[in-house]
This record gives sequence, structure tokens and C-alpha cells, in this order.
Amino acid sequence: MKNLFIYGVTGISLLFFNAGEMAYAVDISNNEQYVSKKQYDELKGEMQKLKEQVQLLLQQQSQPPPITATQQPVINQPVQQLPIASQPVKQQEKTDQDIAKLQEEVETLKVKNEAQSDGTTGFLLTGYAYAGYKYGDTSNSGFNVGFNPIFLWKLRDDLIFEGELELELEDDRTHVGLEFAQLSYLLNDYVTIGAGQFLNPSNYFGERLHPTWINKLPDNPLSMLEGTRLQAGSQLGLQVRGGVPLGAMRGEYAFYVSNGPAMNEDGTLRFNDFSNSNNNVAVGGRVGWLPFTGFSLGYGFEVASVDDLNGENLDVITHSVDFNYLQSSKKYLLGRIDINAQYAYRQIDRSSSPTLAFNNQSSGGYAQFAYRPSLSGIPLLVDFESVVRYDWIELPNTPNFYDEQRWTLGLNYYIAASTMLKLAYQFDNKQGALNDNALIVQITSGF
Amino acid sequence: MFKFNKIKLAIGLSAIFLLLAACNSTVPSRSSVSANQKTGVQLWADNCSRCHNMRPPDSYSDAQWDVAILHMRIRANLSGADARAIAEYLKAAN
Repeated sequence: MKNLFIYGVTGISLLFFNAGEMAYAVDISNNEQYVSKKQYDELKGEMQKLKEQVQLLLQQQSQPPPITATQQPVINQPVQQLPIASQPVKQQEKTDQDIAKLQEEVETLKVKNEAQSDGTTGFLLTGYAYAGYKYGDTSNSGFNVGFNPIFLWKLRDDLIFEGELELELEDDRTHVGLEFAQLSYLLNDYVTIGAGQFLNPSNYFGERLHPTWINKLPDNPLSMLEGTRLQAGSQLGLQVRGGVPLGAMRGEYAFYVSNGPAMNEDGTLRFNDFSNSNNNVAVGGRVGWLPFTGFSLGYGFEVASVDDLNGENLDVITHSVDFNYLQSSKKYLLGRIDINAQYAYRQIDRSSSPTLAFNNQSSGGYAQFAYRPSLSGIPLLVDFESVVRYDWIELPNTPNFYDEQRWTLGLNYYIAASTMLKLAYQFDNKQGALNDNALIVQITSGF
Repeated sequence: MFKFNKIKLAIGLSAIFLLLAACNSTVPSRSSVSANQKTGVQLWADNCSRCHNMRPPDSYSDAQWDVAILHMRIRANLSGADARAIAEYLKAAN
């Protein structure tokens, strides 16, 4: 519409200019008088002014404002009708070409940008972080923090590298650990072969549930803690794993060969024996059964051998079972329940060494129930989750060890899908040592 | 002797699964519906929530989902068909 106005004004101005000249010529012929210098200058000035106006209008026309879709049909029609429109039409065509070229360049840049963003090159940085505070009756109270970046490189559709670092502040230093670093080859839909360091498949909690943004309580069960750990957190070796459909059900498996553990002086095991000091390997695995949605039952095992203080070779066998059930229902539960349990039993051969001549048998586990009224429709409640866990450990009956049980009550608030604030109180019961009831707060986020 | 038995066990297990792999090494289906006929959204809901809160589809780009799903396929022991169906859903919904 604005262009139509401009063309109109331009045309009218030119006509007016020509009419002025004609009127002046008529005036001369009729009166046969010469114009004075003053009149000449006035007319020259007016002509100059008109020229400038026309020039200005032409300039404005050559730089049209942004055109909307609704304006486009209106513009095209008058351009063809105006006598001076041939030049603007060419300019319009040029502008259209420029716009088309610009759009093409933008599309090219979009593609380039997408190609350079994380993931498209096969790389993805993910992981989790946490910060917390623990107040213990008898243990040290204080703040803690940790950061676990996970690096994923998809090298091909059937080849991926996964690595996770663990960065934590411990005592007077920063602990840097390698949680896993594994290259996996997907042989087919049901078999994947992995090599490197990987989370222990026979330890369901350790492999699937331990990250702080997944773990519903701010600490791990007793049987997963350093010092009293019954199963390794990770393995260094080879694994074969996958999932298979079993009719309407599903099955899963994972088997591995890895560096074996080593024995400490007190008879416990050290799982981070990366040099594999006794040259033995551990063989283990887990099979899982998922008969229906939300339910899984698993059995894990590991056989290994360790050398005692005298160099005597002792067999180690570990069994574990895990149970996991998840159910959501608006009608019956107004939300979601989540039940997890795991039990592990480990037997190490009796040593002939005097300090280790005891029945080296350990067991432990946990059972946890969580409820979140996520479908209650009550805004105040939907993001809260209550948790209760019982965990225990039974260690060899020697002065070095004590059995322990704990009840932990927790309340979580989900700030976002993968960010939560946890508050927990732990009732501790040690046989042969001071109890360490604790209040624990943690904020964690998966990213 | 025990060492030898463990190695035998490891070799035996590997042989069994490589045999299974060979038996199952047919061209995988590219369908968005897995072998048990669940759709991508059902499989996403069923499998991901087993361990953690589900991340919204718009958390990642298509290419990022490809990497994340490959990682989770291994961790959660998903079959190839299930993983592809979940990936297709997430990439369509993000």
C-alpha cells in the first residue's frame, strides 16, 4: 500500500511539474513578456525542489519496507500499471532474488550449525552432579560434593565408546576416579560385546540405580559402601550382554570375564586391583526376567580366586538376587510406587593363615519402597516422594567386623525431571560399635 | 585347576553367546514397532522409568537421542528393535 502511494505521488508530482512548465509557456505566449530574474530564480528554485522531491521518492521506492504476505498481492498490481514502474519492478526482482539467496544461505548455515552441535558428530556429554550435607551422631559431619561427567561417542551405528569420570572431594584431596571406559560393539539386535572397564552387571544397584539423580536416597546401601562392599562396582575386562524377547516377556543377560579381586589383610576384598596381582580372573554375570511391565527379577553371580597373606589361593563365590517393581495408577495409587530390593551372599574359602582362619562369609542387601503421588492432581504433592529403606550387612564374626542394620526415611522434592532435593534421616544399629544416626540433605541433578 | 575351570567357563559362555549371535544375525527389522508389538512411546514409558524419571523428548536433538539411546540400549539390555522404536518416538516428539 505504501508503494502504491509512493508511485502515485511520484506520478502526480511529475504531472504537476510538466503542467507547471506548460502553464508557464502559455503565459509567455499570451502575454509576450520576458520573465524577470526574480521570477526565473523562483521558478528555478521550485523546479529544483520538485526534482529533489522526485529523487527522494525514487530513493524511497528503491528501498521498500519489509513486505508481508498480505501486502504482496497489492504491490504487484499497481507496479504493472504505473508508467514509471519498469525500474522498480527490476529492483523488486533483484530484491526477491537477494531474499531468496539469503534464505538459501540461512538454510545452509542451519545445516552446518546442526552438523557441528553436540551429538551430530556422535558425541554427547551427559552425567550428573550433587552437593550435600551429612550430620552424623558419631561420624564426621560436613558438606560434600561430586561431579560425574559421562562422555559418549557413537562411532558408528554399531560401535560406541562410553566413559565416566568421578570427581569428588575427599578428606584433603580431590578424588578422581574412572567409573567406566568401555568400547562396545553391537553384534546384532540381541548381542553386544564390550571391552574395557564397565559397571558390574551382576550388581543391579551398582549398575543401574547408584547415580545420585536416580538413587532415591542420598547414600548407598551398606553392602555397596566402600570397605564393606560385597560386590564390585565395576569390572575391567570383557562382557557380552543383551536383551531377548521371550514371547510377551523379556529376558536380559550379561556375562563377563574380568581382572579378579585381591584380598586385604583383614580378609575383605579389594575390587580395584587393576594390576590383577594374582593373575586370576573373575567370571560372572546376571540373568534377568521381565515377565510383565514394571517387574524384573534377576540373579547374579561371580566366581573368582584370591591369594591370602601366605600366597594360598582361595576361591570366592558371590551370588545375588534383585527384585524391582514399578507401578503407576491414577485410580488405585494416585501416583507411582517403586520397590527395589537386592541381596548378596559371598563366601571366601577358609585361609590357613592364622589371622584369616575364620569363616569368611558375608551377606547383605536392602529393600526400598518409594511412593510419589504424581497423579493425585494436587499441585502441592505431585512433586514430592516419600522413601523408606532397610539395609543390612552381616560380616565375618571377628573383632575386625560388626553387623549393622539401618532404617532410612526420606522425603524428596523433584525440582525437575532429573533434579531433586533429598532429605533423609537414618536410624543406625551397629552390633559392637557406636550407632551413627544421621541427617542427610542432598541436591542432585542429572544432565 | 580352578583358574583353568574359570577360563573354560568363560570360553564356554562366550561360545554359547557367539553361537546365539550367529543364529540371530539376520538383518534387523527397521520397523518402529518392536518384536512384542509395543509402540515407541509404550517402550519408552515401560523401560526408561524402570530406573529413572523419564527425560522429556525435547531434552535432546535427534542426533543426541541417537547417541543416548545407543548408550541406554547397552545399559538396560534393550533389544535393537526396542531401542530403535524408542529412538523413533523421541525424535518424532522432540
